[in-house]
Amino acid sequence: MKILHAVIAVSVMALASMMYSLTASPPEKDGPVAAPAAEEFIIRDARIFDGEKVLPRASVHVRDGLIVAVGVDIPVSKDIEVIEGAGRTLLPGLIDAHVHTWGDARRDALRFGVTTELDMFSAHQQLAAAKLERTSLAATDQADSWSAGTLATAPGGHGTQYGMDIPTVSAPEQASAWVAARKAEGSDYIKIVREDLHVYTGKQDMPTLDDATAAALVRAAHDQGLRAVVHASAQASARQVLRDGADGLVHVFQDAPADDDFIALARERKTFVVATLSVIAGFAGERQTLSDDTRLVAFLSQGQKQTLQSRMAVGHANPALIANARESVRRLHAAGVTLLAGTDAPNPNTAHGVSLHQELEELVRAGLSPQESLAAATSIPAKVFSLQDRGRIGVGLRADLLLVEGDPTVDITATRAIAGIWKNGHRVDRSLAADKATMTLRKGIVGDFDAETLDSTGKSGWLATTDKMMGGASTVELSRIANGADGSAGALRISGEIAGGAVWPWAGAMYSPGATAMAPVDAGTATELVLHARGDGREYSVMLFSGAQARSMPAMLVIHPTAQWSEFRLKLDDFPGADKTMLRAVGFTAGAPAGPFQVDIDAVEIR
Amino acid sequence: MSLHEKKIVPLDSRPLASLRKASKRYGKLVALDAIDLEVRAGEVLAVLGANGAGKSTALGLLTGRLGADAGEVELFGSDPRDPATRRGIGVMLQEVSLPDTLRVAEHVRLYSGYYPKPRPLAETLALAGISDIAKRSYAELSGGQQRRVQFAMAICGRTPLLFVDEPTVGLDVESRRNFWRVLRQLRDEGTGIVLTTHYLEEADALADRVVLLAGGRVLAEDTPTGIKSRAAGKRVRARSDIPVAQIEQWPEAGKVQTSEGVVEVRSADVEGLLRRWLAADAALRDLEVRSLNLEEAFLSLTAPNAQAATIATEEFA
Amino acid sequence: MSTTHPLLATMGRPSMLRIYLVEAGYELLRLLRTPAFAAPTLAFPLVFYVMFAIVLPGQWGGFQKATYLLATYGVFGIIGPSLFGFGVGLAMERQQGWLELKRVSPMPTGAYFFAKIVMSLTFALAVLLLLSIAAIGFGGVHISVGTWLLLVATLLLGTLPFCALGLWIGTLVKGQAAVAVVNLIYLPMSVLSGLWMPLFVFPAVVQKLAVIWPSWHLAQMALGVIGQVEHVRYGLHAGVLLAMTALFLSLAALRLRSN
Repeated sequence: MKILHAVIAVSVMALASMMYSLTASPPEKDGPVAAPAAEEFIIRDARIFDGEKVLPRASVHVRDGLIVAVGVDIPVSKDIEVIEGAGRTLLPGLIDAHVHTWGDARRDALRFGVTTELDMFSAHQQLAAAKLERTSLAATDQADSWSAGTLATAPGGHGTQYGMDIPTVSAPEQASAWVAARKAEGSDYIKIVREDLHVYTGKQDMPTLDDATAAALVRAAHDQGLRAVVHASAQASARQVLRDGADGLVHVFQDAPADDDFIALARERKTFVVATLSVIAGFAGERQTLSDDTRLVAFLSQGQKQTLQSRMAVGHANPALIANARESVRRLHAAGVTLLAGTDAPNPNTAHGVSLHQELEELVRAGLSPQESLAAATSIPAKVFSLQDRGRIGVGLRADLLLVEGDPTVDITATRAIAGIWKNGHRVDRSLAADKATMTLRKGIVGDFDAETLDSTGKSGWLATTDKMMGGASTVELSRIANGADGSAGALRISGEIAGGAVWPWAGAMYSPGATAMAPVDAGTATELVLHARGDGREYSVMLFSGAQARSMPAMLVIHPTAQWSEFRLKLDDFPGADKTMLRAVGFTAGAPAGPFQVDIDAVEIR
Repeated sequence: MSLHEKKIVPLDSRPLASLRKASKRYGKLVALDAIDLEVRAGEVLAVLGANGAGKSTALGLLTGRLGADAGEVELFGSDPRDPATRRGIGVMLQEVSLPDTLRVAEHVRLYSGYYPKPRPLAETLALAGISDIAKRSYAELSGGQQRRVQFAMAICGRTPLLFVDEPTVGLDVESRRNFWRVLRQLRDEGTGIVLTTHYLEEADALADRVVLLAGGRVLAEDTPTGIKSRAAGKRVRARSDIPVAQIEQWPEAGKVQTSEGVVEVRSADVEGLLRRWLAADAALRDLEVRSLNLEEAFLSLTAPNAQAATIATEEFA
Repeated sequence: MSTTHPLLATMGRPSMLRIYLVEAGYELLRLLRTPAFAAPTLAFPLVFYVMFAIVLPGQWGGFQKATYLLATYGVFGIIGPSLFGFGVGLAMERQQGWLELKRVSPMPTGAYFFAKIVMSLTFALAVLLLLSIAAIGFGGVHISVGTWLLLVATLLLGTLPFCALGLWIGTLVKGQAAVAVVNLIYLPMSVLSGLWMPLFVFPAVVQKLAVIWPSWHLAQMALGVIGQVEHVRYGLHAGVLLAMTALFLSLAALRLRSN
């Protein structure tokens, strides 16, 4: 009996303390609907294009990330913020149906009112985080993204030339397992490439999937519950692909305008086509006009300006390509084939977000009405890809909204006159992070750890960093140990455990030289990062965080510290893509595989 | 009918189950007060008593449902609270409802599984007289049929000791006699049976020994013969002017006692006593004639120093 | 002191494994034949899931409604057999004297609980299968086999605290009263822990109080496994469920001992 009483007492106390600790960080934190979004506002008396039709005058009430009312006369309480819509048009957040995302792509997109992007090939490691973000209604500075992950191509085919080592498919028998692997990585749909470059260079300059394998991939995708979309630059391949049962084309082909055969097939199969006229115009030698548009220029980042200006490397600029494409779009539209607006950003002549406005204009030039063009960038891609909570303005839908001056249903270029952008019901700040390095790096030792407490020459000091922010579970502990390298008094021990299951696990330490964490300093005259390290046989990454944006991917080099103290000298110029003039932080982390790790570092110096 | 030829079965002479100075208390209420009781192989022990006398508690101690506060409880030399010990007993309780979505045969099969060497299913069903309703679900059975199923579960284990609690309550005469027949058969095979009942006639028909409980104590132990002789006769009470000493001399009078002016006479020949008394005392008043109740019957058994005595089984040799 | 009577010593021992399995088999059989138990246990969660997650229109913003509700209705579905099986089961058996009869039999005590646990797990699995068929076949839910197996494993393990809770309730009330008590706990608990609708539709007070419900903790774990909620603190939730199991079991043991 006594034991029972003891168990009861202990369990009651344990429960009390555990429940208290859970309430201390309230339950709402544990859900994707993060902090109760206090944002509530009404956009009053605007013209509304709801994705399908126009409401000449109506108001939209947004609360907690969702549209809660749409109507002509919505009761407004005094405390709710009112945004005047008179003389303006409210659109659903735009959807770009063909992009490639990395770095600041999704941030750039959102700055121009593109709230959702459908990625057609990028690193699969991003997929899990993107999935979580698009179910959240928390404030964000990025567009949501669906993705194909890794595309399906032949060995040596299109897609393998970008420096990423991707699994290819060479025979129909491999299709099923390949698709299963993509699905496991988190691909939302399967992209299949049929490209041998003959449309651009006149001859077959690149290996490509054969008919049988491509067909097997389409089948495998459908069997496993995924849509199959196809890149085909030639009409013959496109026609074949339609017969295979593909759900859509991610480009309109460019070797000839769509013939009656193709159109009939597309209508019969209900295939959709993403036009991507913006990038094809670039192939054809045309230049975009976006970077001259005063409404847009102020919001273009350096990166966007660069890609808008760049030119395609393959083949000669061939005006026939864009002419064929435009004619195809005209014919397809006339025949009622579903068209989606997509840019293939950030390929040459394009950039994320801003190019979709040009694409809308191109579609109108090719024969769509402004309303149809807007639908091709809102409700139609949402329907085609089953994006259930967006693409339209309606009650219960996500509050991704774009408010523009004027009437884009009459003049499509009015979409560029952006008055306001909301993502998840939060106002988007369009200003470019105009960080300038205000400090110059004081060269020298940034960490000798000889003092009794952890300290360094920078004010922000050494911090722990882990993959927890990406949903991982790795842990790290920083401690000062006695007896550092070369007999110095102390060193920094970075130890912890890499947890399996995160897409890109990491845990380690970070040093920020600036006044605050991640504030940039100008290290332009520095040449080397030197450190002493003693490790446990694992590979460790040395990272430089730099550049215009605080959150961009760091440049990395790996080191292999041995069980003895040894010196590592890393040339700053060897860090790929690092911008020394905007150095924000230096990191030392362990990565995969899962398991415990321990590394000691000392005498860290930038010289 | 009650005295019969008994097979002499060579047995260990230790009792199968026993209570020695066992006591059980519920708060202030003393349910059992240092009682002794034992049952041997091949005998039917009837435990008699009114409600609240302690029958259920005694049964509870012996079957391991309760633990004694004092004294010893032994079942086959072990503690009945250990489920393994109970492999030697079958129990039939009062007021039990079994899950009614199971069938009769399923109930018996489930219960038989608890025992190491149970009777074959057909044999159990036949003994309990439920072979014809084996496939019926328990919900469809009448009260009597349900009792027989419970009896089947009690005997299915082929155990050396059986406890049956008020088994024939509510049964018709025919069913009751069938039941007694089976119990006797089991006893003849060497099974020890502890039977609780408040039917004197049942104890009379079946028991080899009878124990009477009242107020948590053993009032008396005797054989049915003993009961019969004591239970015969009646009690006559009246207010009379005739002195007690004189009444005691009458041949029809047995024990005479008086309290508060009321004379009470035990008599085997009530009519004779009344004729004499009425003739002797014309002023006889408050006349009352009653049969002996159970308690009185046994009270008369107790020796002056109020100790229960066990009659040896040699009587039946 | 006492040596075993030879009659008992020579009796031998029945197969424990067989007793456990047969006990479990009959417990399952008798409940399957009890429409009042089997039908609502299996049908209720399924029907409500189909209604709320699949048939009724309505968006939840960023949530994938059908997937989210698969996790929470899964929790709802497994609580039923545990609470009713143990709670009402024990209460009725105590009242009917059935438990009494088992107590005086040689049945090992473990077999009784084993049978009830197997019964709840079997019904729980059946409910989960039904829900999964509805979700994946008709609700458009896409989850990998591994995730589904992990979800099922989490939920099946999660029946334990509710078996314990049911056990305790069964020792507190007898007979039909238990049905009312179990329902009074089951339905409000399910609603207030966000199993039918996510908690954000409720006022903040309700959301804060959610920590007291074991069903909320299990739901958080299930939602984390199925990928609908991030940063789930599995350790803490599992710890709470474990402590609750220990607590309810001890309370039940106390009551059973003193009976």
